[in-house]
Amino acid sequence: MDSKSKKYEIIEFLGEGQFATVYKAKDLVTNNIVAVKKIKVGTVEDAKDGVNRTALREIKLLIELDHENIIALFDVFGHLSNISLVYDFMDTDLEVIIKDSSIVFTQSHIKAYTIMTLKGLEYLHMNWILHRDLKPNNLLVNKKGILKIADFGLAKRFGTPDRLHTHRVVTRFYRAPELLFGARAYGPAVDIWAVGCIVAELLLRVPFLPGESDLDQLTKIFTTLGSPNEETWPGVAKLSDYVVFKKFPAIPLREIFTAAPNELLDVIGGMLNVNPLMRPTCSEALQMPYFSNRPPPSLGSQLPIPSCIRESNPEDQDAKGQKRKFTDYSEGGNYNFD
Amino acid sequence: MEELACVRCMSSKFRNPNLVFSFNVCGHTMCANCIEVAFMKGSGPCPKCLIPLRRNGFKLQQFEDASVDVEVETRKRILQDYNKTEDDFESLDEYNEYLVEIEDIIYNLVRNINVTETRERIDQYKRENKEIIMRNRMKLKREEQALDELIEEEKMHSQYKRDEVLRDEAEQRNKKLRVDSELIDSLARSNSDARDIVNTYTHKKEEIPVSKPKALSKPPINFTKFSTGVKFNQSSMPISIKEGPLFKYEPISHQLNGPACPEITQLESLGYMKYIRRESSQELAGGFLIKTSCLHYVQECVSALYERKTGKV
Repeated sequence: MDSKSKKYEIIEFLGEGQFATVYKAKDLVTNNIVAVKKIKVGTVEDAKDGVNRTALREIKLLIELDHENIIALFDVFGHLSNISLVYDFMDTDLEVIIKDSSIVFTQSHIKAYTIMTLKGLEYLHMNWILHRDLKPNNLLVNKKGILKIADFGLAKRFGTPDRLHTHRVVTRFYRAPELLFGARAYGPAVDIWAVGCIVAELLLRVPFLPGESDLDQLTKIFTTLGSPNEETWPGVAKLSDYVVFKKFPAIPLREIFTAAPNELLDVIGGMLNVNPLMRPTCSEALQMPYFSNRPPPSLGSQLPIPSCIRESNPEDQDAKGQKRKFTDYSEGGNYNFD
Repeated sequence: MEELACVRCMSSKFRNPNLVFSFNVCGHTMCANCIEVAFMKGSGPCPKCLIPLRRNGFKLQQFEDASVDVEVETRKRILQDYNKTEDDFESLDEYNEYLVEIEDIIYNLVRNINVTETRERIDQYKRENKEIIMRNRMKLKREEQALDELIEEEKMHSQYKRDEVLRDEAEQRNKKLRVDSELIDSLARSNSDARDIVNTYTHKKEEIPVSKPKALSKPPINFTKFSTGVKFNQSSMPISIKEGPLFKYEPISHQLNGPACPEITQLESLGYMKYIRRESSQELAGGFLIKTSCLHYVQECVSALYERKTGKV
């Protein structure tokens, strides 16, 4: 095992999170640039439990996956009591791109990002994996304009009845209402909701539903999309943390997204249906007319690159964009205790 | 003259030179800290004259005497509406009368004389001269724009001049250097008298025109704007976009390596669901479908059944 850690030469430090430190490194055998995530050992108590849970989840799931829009785990090696994971090197993430005010999104850009996200997610769901932490920060983008879903620290297999999941997952802004109401049995629709929020964020350039607390999150959802009732969401009152809300009328999406074409509003409206059973699956969503209509999705080479990377020369990439990634473990809403 | 002090805490610049004073419509000075405390709710009465004030009505005090500041502010506000120019009047007398009126209004407002009456006068004026006010505002805006353009053009012109001078200087330096190196060269190689050579080259060097203050050539006329006002070479939008192909959905294939698995929609009709419990209403509300689990198990049953045939173990 020791020989493997010598196979990679660290180029620079990229970022640090609660559970891991990330370095940009060079694979000395293939000369590829990779990202090496070194899991922290943590306290003695943590060490007693064995390998870090998030790392274990990530290794367990990622090692079997192979898709263009899913981050690839190339290698895992241990050195002393450390575990390191070796990934594709990605230049930036969608959050950096959304926040870069020098970038103007065209309809083609939004379509391209959405298609890549949905394709990756379709593959995940087909392999019975829920991601449970989709957000712009976890959608990495490289210089070729390819988007990959990353951070499987909260991902879990689904489709086994009677196995309950925790509802304390997904960063709050992107958390589906059934999770906020405490559902313990849920399905892939929670990821679809998150994608809906991300598409809305691509249009607005700010988080669509920025709740300040779990209750505020529900209020934001219902004041925007209308409060649910037995008719629109059968059984909602049976959920364990159900709270009765005042009746809010839904704001027409057209008034929120004034520049979006109608087909895109259909996509967003479908994904952000408060009733999880009414949301489309990834495959259904990809077959909606918006995606096959004109304008076509941008080619990867024409997708915008944030200024922090654009300005630096190719050998000496500024890793500002990357730095923020992998540092998000400590962010609120990122629970994992099941 | 008494020292400028905050009407609430009475502290002055003498004791605390870092104090920041602001004033509101009533002309009473308050320091930033007191404003923060007294107007926490956004509005409240002036501590001195009890006039209701808004927090965002506070302006930084520029002059020692706050009444000057109030007058400046009032004048600014009034002139936004009273924006007629001499051209709008037929005679000079009328224009002068108009100016006197403005001064009267400002004087009244600042010193709290007949405030309601004056306000009415302003409102009436606004109603009567709506069109002229709007027209003059537009004109002012245009004039400001034209001025901006002029400044921009001047900046470009001087930049061009500077560049040209720099270029000339560099050229001369180069020429001198070349003559010098030629001199060294010929001293080293030629057989003739060194003094002659030095003489010829000094002549040559003198011939180089000393930074002639030549008539500056005009910079090439640069159109910096389209007729629509959009600047050249500042386009934020890509002009030509190479279009890729339209997206076509291709169903994702599942490598089960086993016999064909039924579709999720067929499970019911093929009888797979016969002995399986139904979802509770709670599960349904959470978006959990028992069908999905059923499909998962059926898939696991059939997957990898052909493993031996492909030769893999």
